[in-house]
Amino acid sequence: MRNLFLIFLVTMACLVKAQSNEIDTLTHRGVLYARHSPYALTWSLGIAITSIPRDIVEEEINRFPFLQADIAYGLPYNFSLVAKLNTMVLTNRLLSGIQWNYPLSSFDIALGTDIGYLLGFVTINGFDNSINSWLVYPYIQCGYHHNEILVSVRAEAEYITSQQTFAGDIQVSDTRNRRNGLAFSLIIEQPFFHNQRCALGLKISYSDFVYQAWPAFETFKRTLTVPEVFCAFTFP
Amino acid sequence: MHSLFPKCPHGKSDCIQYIAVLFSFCLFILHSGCIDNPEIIHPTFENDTIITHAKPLQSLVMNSTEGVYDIVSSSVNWGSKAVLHWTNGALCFYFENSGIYAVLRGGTVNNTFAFSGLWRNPLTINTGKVQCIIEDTTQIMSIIRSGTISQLTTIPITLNILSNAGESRQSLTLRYARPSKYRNENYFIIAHRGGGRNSDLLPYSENSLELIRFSQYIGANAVEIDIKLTSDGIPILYHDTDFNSRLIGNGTLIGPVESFSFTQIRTFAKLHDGSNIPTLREALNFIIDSTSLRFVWLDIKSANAMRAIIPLQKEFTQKAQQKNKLLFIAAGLATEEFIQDFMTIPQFSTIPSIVETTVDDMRKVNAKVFAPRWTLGTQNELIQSVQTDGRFAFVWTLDDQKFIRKFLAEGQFNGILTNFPSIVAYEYYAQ
Amino acid sequence: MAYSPISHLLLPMNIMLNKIVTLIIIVIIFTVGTLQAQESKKNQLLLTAAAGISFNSIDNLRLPDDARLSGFGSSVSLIWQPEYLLSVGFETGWLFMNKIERTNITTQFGSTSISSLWQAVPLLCIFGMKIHDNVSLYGGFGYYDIIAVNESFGTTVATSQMNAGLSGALDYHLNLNSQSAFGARFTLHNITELQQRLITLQFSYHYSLLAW
Repeated sequence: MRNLFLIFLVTMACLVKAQSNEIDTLTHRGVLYARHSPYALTWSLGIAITSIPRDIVEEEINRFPFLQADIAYGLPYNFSLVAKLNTMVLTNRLLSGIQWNYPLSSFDIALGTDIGYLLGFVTINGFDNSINSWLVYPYIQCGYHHNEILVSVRAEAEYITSQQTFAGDIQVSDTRNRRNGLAFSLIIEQPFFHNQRCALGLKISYSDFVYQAWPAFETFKRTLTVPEVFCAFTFP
Repeated sequence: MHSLFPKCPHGKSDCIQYIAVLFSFCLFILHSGCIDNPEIIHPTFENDTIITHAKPLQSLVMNSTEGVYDIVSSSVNWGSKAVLHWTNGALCFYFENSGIYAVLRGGTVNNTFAFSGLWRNPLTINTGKVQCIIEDTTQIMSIIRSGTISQLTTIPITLNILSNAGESRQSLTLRYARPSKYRNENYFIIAHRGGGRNSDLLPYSENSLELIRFSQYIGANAVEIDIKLTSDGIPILYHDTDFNSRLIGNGTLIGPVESFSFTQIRTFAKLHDGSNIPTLREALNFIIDSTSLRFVWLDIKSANAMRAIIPLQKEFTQKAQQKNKLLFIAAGLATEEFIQDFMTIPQFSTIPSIVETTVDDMRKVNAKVFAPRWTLGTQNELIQSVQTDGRFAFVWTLDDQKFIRKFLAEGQFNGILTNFPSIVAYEYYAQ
Repeated sequence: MAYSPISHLLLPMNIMLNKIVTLIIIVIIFTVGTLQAQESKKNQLLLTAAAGISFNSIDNLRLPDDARLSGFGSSVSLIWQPEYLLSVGFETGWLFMNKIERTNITTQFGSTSISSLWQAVPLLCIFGMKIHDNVSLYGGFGYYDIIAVNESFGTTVATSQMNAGLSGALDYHLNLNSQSAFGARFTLHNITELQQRLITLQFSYHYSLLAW
């Protein structure tokens, strides 16, 4: 955990130190980047692979890829609306939120909050389990753009405001207002061909509840370090 | 000249930035490749003089002191009550909060009662050593000999809760309150996978002999063990389809369990705690000779294992009877396919079995136990009809304390399969 | 189940080759598809072959002291290198992991000779980035097919198992001509699911299949 935080700080420091004098005038077409052009809609589609410790999920739900869709809409006064969907049928998480950015030469610093809703249901071997949850993700993001290459580092906190799990009609758990953990991401977006971009990211989460592993119904209380790699194609 | 790798596209200063970014990226990759998910340091007792020098207590003392105790003062939040239970000479406490348990060994040392052991919160990685020393034993002995057990309420018992290194940290004082409530002799606290899963970070590997022994101390009086078959037809205790890093601690075998012969498995594969993967024969021998467990649930993980386990089931049921030991060994039939396969075995209706599907299936194979999953609820009428036939009903797999409490209070089951036997033990004995 | 010594070796090899060929075809079709859509001439399709030694840096396995942990490691990658920062491609190969060989050892089951060999076939999606005129960095993620052959007690058993993992590589290269380059490469493979780590030191040869 401390290592991750140091890596995040080092990256931020390196980016700031390597600041270029050039003021970029390019239109920012990155979905995951800190700044979006006013009234421009961009979206991306890709996959995210999470590696959940095998001890927890055993042979059942490990290494299942999620489809990931992101959408961003630029607003005046440096505001943007953003939304994200992660889905693999059994587990679906929808996030939406607003962010504000502060441009600084080749850099953009963004602050924002996403509100998320998690819905999961699994019917296997007669089990009828489900989850629904409301989540909040405040974040800070530092972006660096140069020659149409967009690099972002992001730190986010995760809070569970309300979460219920069910086995059939029985409510198994009811969690309210709990700090769940932190996550750090590194994302690179660059042109792919024509107007398309590709995005590559790595995210390390350090959290108590890993939403991708909700069917495991973990009783043991532990904080897990979970890496996630994602790759997406961005459309203007 | 045009070259395969052209000059850096954006000049040297940009390259420095890329290095900064990539340096971080590589650190991320390296870090994610060596993730340290929670580890636990279990206390060790090699040089513990109490354990090595103490003489065992008389059984009269053990029987008299079992019961429910009030926690009268405590610097730890382990609840307001605890259950004291003796298992195979070990002094076991099960606390109200989260199934925290303490397992101590010892007895009489120089006219004192001295015990030393470990405590653990089974839902977290918190663990350490614990000691209990009662210097004035004359009062306890006179109360016990006179048979006025209620007077034990006047005698405080203090547990010193130590760090792993043996330094005193906290203490907890208990007073006897009342005897344990034993609802009936045939209530089974069944430890899943021989005592718990590897993810529960127990001191021994799941489905190992030492974990089966340990399961008694943490509250179980029965075990469920998983059975796979080797390529040469020997039933072994193993849960997964493959040899993998979750269960195997050394790296010579990988891939489907049923590809390897017993000799290869015994020679090359060790569990995470360094022990051998036991055969079913070894496990049943161990259970009869070295434990006081009363029920064994054989969870058959491969269909072809069925015919290999039945002769062993018969052999060891007879062996237990010859030793005047009460032990029931039943084959778990988890699916319709297993039931169909079971019904092709001659005289299948005389073989003790556990049916997990429906009551109709249970009657069809004349199973001794019906075991529905807990999410179907307490099903009291159905369970009573099962018990009217002289059969047992178990519920699986209950790990949450509030549901364990609910099933014990409102349900009619004869046993609970759980990964946390100490929670069930506290809730059952403290009723 | 036990296989005959020949058939057990052929079976996983055939399955693996099929998998590798299918994936290479998918990458080629995908790349050619994007190629036709390109108007710029700043792209190239790069084939890289690397060979050298692979060292199994073991984290959690309690292998015997006489286990051999280094052997031959080869890899082949096909990478699309656009004019921008990141290049994208696919990598596979054949990496030695560990080998144990003992003759006439005494076990509780009698005397036997033992041979155990683990090899890994990476199936990775890789991303590369040029950080200096002669230096590139690569990061990859995907799966490693661990192929194990165990010969003991007169039986040979071959098994394979897919495990998720990540890789990172540093490649130093010198241009030979407009179409090829030669270099050296250091790669770290983290087979996270198996908690295994492989380090490879290889000579690499890069050849431009297409440039447009």
